[in-house]
Amino acid sequence: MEFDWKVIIDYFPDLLAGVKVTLSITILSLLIGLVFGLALALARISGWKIISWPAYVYIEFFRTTPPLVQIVWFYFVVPVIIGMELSAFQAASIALGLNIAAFLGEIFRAGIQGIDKTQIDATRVLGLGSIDSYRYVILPQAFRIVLPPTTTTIMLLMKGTSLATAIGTLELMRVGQLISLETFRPFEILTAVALIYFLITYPVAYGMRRLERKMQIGEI
Amino acid sequence: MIENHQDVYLELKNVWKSFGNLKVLKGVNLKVGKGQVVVIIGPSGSGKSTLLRCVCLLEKIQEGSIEVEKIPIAYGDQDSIGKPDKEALNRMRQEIGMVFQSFNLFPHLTVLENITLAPKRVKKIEEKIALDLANSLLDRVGLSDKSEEYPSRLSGGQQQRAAIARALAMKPKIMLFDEVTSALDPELVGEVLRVMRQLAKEGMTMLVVTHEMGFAKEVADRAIFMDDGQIVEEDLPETLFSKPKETRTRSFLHQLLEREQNLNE
Repeated sequence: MEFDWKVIIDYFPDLLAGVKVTLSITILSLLIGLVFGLALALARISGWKIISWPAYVYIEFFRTTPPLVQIVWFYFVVPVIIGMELSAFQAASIALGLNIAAFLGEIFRAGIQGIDKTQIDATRVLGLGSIDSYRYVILPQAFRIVLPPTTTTIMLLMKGTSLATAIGTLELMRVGQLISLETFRPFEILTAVALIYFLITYPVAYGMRRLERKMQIGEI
Repeated sequence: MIENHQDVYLELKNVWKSFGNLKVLKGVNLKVGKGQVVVIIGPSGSGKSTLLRCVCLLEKIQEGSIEVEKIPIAYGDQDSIGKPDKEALNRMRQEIGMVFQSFNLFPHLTVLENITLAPKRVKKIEEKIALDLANSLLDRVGLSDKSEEYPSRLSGGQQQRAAIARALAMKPKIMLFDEVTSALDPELVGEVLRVMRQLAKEGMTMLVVTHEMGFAKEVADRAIFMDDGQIVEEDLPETLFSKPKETRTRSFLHQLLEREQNLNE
């Protein structure tokens, strides 16, 4: 069998359009995940049962059900509940965002709790309020701790966007499938798709590692 | 042993503190006059550190009261003198500086940033003034050339001096020192004690938990021996160390002396 480059070149614009959707879902769900994940972490360590318990239930629910099920559920069930249509793109972004929020929430919680209690003592004897201690002492240190596991989560998310294929979102994987069916050249097209996933995911790993190293200056 | 003409700065009245069922402080009474240096010695687990942590409001007491210039800053659950308002408490907290055994500098901030953080955020002091203050404090503790370094690049003695400067930046009226030389290599102890000696000379009120007998004899107005959550004996340092009245004090000093001799051998 011959590797036909031409089919990749011919359909390259379509693949690029798929990449755009893949990146959009990633960014949107990452934003949801970061903000909501931090809120979940703070709720979990607040010590107030009224908010820590729901956060716990949420986290375990989203960690124990498959993301594919969550995506499909958001596309078919949630619109019925809220009485509003969600596009495949919206459903995928929200479902994945809420999903990684659960994982990031646990990562952030561990990061914050991993900070030596003596640091908190130091902020208290200096008279810093809890908002200032979080902002200037606890979170900046937690940030360094959570960077590596957060990187892994982001990479899993980028590849996880391919699950949105199931509800017909025209992201990279779905586009690849459609072109394969149309051209009968799955070998070339899916190889190209895999390569493209590598090309968009690896820079994240590389960039985050650089950031990690940069942040390490002055660390213990 | 506060002279009549001297103002009491800090007073602990019948302070009780327990962690669960473990009673750590059992009715401690203590007065520290303005400008006095009081040294606390005692075996580990005797409640010395807990006492300091109660004074700087890191721990809540169960009974009794702690007063700064006659104003209660902490009191037990049963006392019903009414809560001091939050602002007054915060102001009080700023008057009490604390230095820890493990330095507790913020590792992600430079020495300078460590010192200016609280003045800027808590006292809302302007950046430039905070920097001037920090630089003059660094000069005082002999770390002018280390202002841009991160704590991890400093020796233990330098870190502890930076921590002292950080506490001083809030312009406290009393400084609490919790075994601040215990985590240091022996050759680094001197530089930290020198800074503390200087502070005492400048009239700072100090409550110092330490095993540095030489320092205590030279600098302290009063020495206290604590054991089992109580103040067993207090006297002039010279007298307490050389002619202790209580057997418990005697046997502790004996052990301390033996340990030092072993170290010197």
